[in-house]
Amino acid sequence: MEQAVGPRCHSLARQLTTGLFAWSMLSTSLLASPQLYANVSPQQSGGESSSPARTALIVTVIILLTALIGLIVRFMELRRAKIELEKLKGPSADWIETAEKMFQRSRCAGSAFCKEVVCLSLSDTFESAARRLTNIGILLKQGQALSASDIGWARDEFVSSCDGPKWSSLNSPGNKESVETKALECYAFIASKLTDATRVHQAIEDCRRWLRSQRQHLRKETVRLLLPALLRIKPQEIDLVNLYAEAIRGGRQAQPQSRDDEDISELALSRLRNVVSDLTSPTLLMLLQAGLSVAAERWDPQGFMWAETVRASLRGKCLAQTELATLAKQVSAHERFQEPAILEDGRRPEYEALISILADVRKEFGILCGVRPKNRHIATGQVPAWIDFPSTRGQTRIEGNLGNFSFTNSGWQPGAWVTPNNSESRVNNTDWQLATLTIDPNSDLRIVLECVQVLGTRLQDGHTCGFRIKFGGLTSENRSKLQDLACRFPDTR
Amino acid sequence: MNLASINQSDIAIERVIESVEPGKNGCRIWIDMFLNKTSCEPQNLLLLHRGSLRAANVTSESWLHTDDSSNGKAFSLTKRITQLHQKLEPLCVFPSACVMVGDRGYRVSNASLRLQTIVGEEHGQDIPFSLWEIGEFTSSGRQVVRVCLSMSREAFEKELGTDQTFYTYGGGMLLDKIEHEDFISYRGANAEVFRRAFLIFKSALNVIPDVFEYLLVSLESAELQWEALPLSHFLSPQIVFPEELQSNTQWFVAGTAERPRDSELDPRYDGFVVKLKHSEVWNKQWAHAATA
Repeated sequence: MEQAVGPRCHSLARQLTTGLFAWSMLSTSLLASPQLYANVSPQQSGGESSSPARTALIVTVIILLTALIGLIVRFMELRRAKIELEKLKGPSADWIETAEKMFQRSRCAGSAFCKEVVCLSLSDTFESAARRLTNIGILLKQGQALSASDIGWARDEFVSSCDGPKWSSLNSPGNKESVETKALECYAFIASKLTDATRVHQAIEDCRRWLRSQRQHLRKETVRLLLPALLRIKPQEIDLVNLYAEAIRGGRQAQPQSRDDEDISELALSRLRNVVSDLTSPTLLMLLQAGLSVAAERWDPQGFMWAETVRASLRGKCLAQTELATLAKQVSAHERFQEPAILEDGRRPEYEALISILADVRKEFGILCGVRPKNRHIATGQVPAWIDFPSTRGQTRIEGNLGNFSFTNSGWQPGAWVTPNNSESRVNNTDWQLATLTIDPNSDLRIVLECVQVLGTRLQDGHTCGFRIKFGGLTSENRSKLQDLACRFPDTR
Repeated sequence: MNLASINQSDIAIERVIESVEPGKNGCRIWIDMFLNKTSCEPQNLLLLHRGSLRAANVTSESWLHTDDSSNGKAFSLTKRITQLHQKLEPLCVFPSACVMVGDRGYRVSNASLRLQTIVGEEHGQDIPFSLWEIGEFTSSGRQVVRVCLSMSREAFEKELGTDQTFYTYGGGMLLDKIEHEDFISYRGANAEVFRRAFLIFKSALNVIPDVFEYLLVSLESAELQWEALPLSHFLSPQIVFPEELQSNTQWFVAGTAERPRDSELDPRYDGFVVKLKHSEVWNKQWAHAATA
């Protein structure tokens, strides 16, 4: 790279000299040319009027020449300073400061020259390496139009900084993490300039390599900085989308396995919120599905971040109707699968977030309904209850215990949850069935609710089963009895 | 932490430095606001933070060098910030109640600045948020204010939970967290008061600083027992140059004077999250990784 410095400087000098020469020639010819005024008649111009025009032209030419001379002087000054900088080469306390000043001064001289100065910078410590990368970043951000070779050069710089082949020669102050971060910040910036397909695939491969690396800082910074930047500009790259889904799962094929994996998952989920509007609807759905499986495992904070992403998607109308319906179906299934544990007080934010998302999705479909009310009343102690299913061969009864129930008609349809005494009880988990629910804590408070709808449900652990019950309508007498029941078996969560 | 202005804004927050100091007895959060007021109209600011905290105006002891202040924690933080800034944008404290950041001069706000609690300050209570009004800013020009928020040990331990992790939120993320999670979990009697206060804050003009600095510091011990992991991409970790600060300070900056809030990278800035982990957890993590 340094070999290229000399010819570039000469090239710039040549361009400036040629420009100056051209201007001089042009101005001389203009001043000498009588044709310039040939179309102006003496009557129109008043005879002597060519003189002010000529003066104005001379002044313009002088200003231009002065500006050009100023540029040449500045260039020569920078060139001299650069030679001084080269003489200083070698580990020196003054090196960083001198290079910094040089860089600041060279910024106005254009990106090519600036790049030359950056290339001259030494990286004898982690600190200077990080600073050098910061300068490359500033240089890139200043560049109006970056050539393919500039991007290639910068990418190689960033990759070698992350892969760290020269780290053994670097010392403190600073650390290799700071070098990785700066390199990835810059790499994320040039992501938007990657138009060449080969470069894009290289970047995806870089992401894959670093996400699967053993170096935890590099893994995390890749997910925080580079991966979302690439996803924003190349949302159609299926490899990249799969890689992002992998990051949401903590960089694993299934679920996060360690605390570092959890960090990766949180980073991917929190950053997804910023890129939803850049993604296609099917891609976004795929990533939200990956997020839901992680959120189901750990709501705080992954679930909150997932819910934030869904809210941002709904606000931005980033999901098409088909994907919205699929998402709603899965959220609903997840919520149902988690009952009754999700009704526990500790999981209240999770429950509320899921049902508010469902209500928002329904709104998108034009279905206006109230948000499901907060937790049902969870009875403390044993409350015997049984469900009678009508059958052609007589009544079929399932005996159990009332887990939770609601007693108001506001908002969502009121209902209950009954856990059977016999775990082998018949569980029809496909259809809602009409039945009669009897709650009988003792003889003086028996509540009989006829025509309730019942759905057998097997919980996530695969063993526990229970019955979801929808009350339909409640008579005032039954509502009053349920309120009485709530007082006798208070909710002590 | 979020800031909002009550009236139409003629007040710009040019820089906020949020310094978090977790400790055995709870957590202190120091907030330095470098603001620029363009008119003489009286103006108030709203400051909101999750949870139950106590607030105090510590501007004088932080930014005015007196015999009383020089040994205090507040001034020690100021010294640290000054040291950190040596190689970024120089920050100098002058005896004439003036602070220079780069080429901008800020007057140290007078001690009469009122800090009124709107809701919160119920120490140890589990509440969704605390809200204060700071004012009145009457004179125009640039000035600096520091507020110290203290979280009790009980409240901090509750925040940490079994994972020994602590999340700090800002911007839209913070408001969503309060609205969608903290309100729902809140079982206190005066929920309606908090809802009203929250609406006041949301209807005020949200103020986003041009430059945001986040510091994780230990002012007492030589070694920081915590690690910070920014989840937002615009928080850029900075190299801590002074050797004596390398083990007890972590520093992140969003935006610079020339490049505010990374706007060219992501114009959709709407909040940040930083995850703080107790280093014991990290140590275990590393040990586990090594064994594996």
